[in-house]
Amino acid sequence: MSSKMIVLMSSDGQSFEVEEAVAIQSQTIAHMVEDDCVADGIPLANVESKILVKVIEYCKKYHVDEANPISEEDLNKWDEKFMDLEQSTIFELILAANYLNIKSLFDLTCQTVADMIKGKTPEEIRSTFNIENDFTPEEEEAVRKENQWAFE
Amino acid sequence: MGSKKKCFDGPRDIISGLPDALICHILSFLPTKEAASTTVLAKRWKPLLAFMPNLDFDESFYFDPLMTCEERRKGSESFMLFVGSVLTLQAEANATLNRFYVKCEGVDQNSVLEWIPKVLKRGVLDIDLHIPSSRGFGSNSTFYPLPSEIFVSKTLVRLKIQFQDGVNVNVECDVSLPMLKTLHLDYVKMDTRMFQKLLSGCHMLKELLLMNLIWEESSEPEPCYVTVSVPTLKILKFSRFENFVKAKDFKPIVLWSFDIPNLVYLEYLDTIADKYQHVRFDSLVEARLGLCKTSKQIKNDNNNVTKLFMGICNVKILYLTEDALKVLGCCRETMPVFENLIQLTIKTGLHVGWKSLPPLLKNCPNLQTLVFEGLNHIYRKRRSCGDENRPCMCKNLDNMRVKKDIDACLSSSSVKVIKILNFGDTGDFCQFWEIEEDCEFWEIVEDVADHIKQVKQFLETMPDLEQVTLYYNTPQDEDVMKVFKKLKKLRRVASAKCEVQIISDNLNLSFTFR
Repeated sequence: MSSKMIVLMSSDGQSFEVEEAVAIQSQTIAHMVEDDCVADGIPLANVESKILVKVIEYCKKYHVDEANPISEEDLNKWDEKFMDLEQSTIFELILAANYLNIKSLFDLTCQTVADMIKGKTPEEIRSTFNIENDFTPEEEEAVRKENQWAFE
Repeated sequence: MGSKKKCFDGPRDIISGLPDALICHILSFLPTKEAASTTVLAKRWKPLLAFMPNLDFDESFYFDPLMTCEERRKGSESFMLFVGSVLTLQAEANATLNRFYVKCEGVDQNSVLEWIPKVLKRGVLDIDLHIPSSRGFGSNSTFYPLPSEIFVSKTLVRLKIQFQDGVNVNVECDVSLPMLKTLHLDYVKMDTRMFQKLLSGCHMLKELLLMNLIWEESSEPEPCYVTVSVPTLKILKFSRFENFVKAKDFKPIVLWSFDIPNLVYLEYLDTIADKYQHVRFDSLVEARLGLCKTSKQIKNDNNNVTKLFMGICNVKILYLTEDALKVLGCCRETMPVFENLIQLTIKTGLHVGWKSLPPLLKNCPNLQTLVFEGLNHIYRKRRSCGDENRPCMCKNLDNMRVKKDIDACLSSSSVKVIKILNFGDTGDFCQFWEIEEDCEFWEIVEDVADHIKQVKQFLETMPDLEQVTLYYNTPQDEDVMKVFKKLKKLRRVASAKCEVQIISDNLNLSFTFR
């Protein structure tokens, strides 16, 4: 039972062979397959090999069929482990998931970053993401006053 | 992003470099309060508040019970100002709005209503307004009229509204909600004609919840025809306002029809309609029924209720409130067979007898699981001997006959699992209930011994039992041990392989008879 394979090419020239059914979880790739321009492989100019490897890992896991059913609880645990990454990798994944249009991966990566913001004061958020505060104290005070309830 | 530059000057701020839309998507996973606090992080972040497409204003989460009234009022005011200013900011920026959720307490509901047209104008998809009352429903509820713009929205997919003082649905124009899939209105007043209009304007409706509904008096002559015919509907929950028996609301003569061939889940809590003209549920899997008679309803009109039960007789899972159980008792001769029923839950009550139980169990040939919420029933004792239809019975005799009936059907029952919730709960003596009309006076005798006797009856008669679980919510371990020991002593069990389990606050005990 052979399944159709396609080739994905990362921006740094590496090639990855992937089952078509797995790859078309990316709407971007799905459209290309429909338009029948995948013969020589699909170049993904915006995705590095290091990130493409992770994307393929995710798509393989989420290619659920009846032979390998998986519970939501197990998937959630897997998601947690999968997203245990360096900040820079997470943001690269966000951009890749957005470019490749894989909604569930896009939401997962964004939710992960949102969880890093949740419950933190502005100072703590700045610290987590190395954001430089370029407001003057007066400007900052004005912003706080404008949306007072948000800071209560 | 171009080629990566190696960082020699410390960690980078990557997040601020993302496009606006991506940052907004990240922030959409946070409640708006937290998302808005990012406006102060740096200049790049400030303008983003205008473009957040999912607004989720939850004030209740931050409600500190130790606040004074004044602090509370100031907090609510600040909250309302914030919501208003965000909406204005976003409207000016002409930004897309997908979701608008507001949850708060003790605010001016009129102001909340004013926000609705503003968000509708921006093509909102999802509205959820939850202004609960911590004090229960007020007797002087205002029932705020919902703006008519809601009912002609071309974009609305999901609408949920629950106001402390209720809402009123009454619009002159036709209803047209072409995208609406989910509609929840809790504590709502409308007349039957408006209800029809609402249904006929929703061609994509999948989920409809109308809870605590009060029929409004209309100029239309009675009887009122109510036909629920929505081909796309999968879930329907309809419940009249719980105190409708006592409430001074308009009680119209209603002729109901259900024509919902794709409905999978039904919850229907209401007084019995004056007539069920047409009942069609081809796909129903689960139903929850609570039916009550009003005093003006003809006592012996059994065919009417039977029609409703026949309409749901193919369900797999059924839940009956104590009132529904009572109503079922009146039409036990014409009860349909529930061929597919595998799980039955019965809510018991101190004012309801179990005479409908034997015929019901007999008519469930494939029942696997039987769940009791409580083990209460009414024991009747009448004063005088009367005509044939009302023979004189003392408590024990009435009980004995019912017991014999139940024995007979239990011994041929296929039930494998019994769960008893609120075991040992002998009920609140001061609970509100309606006195049976043909009862001179009644006597309620309930204690744990009665409950143990009941469980013994199950164990002695049911041949296929595999598991009986008692949920005994008490911290008194000695009481639990007493029950455990009494049940263990039972000799004549119908199913030796049956396991009995008692779960209490502190203990989890079990044994088998073998």
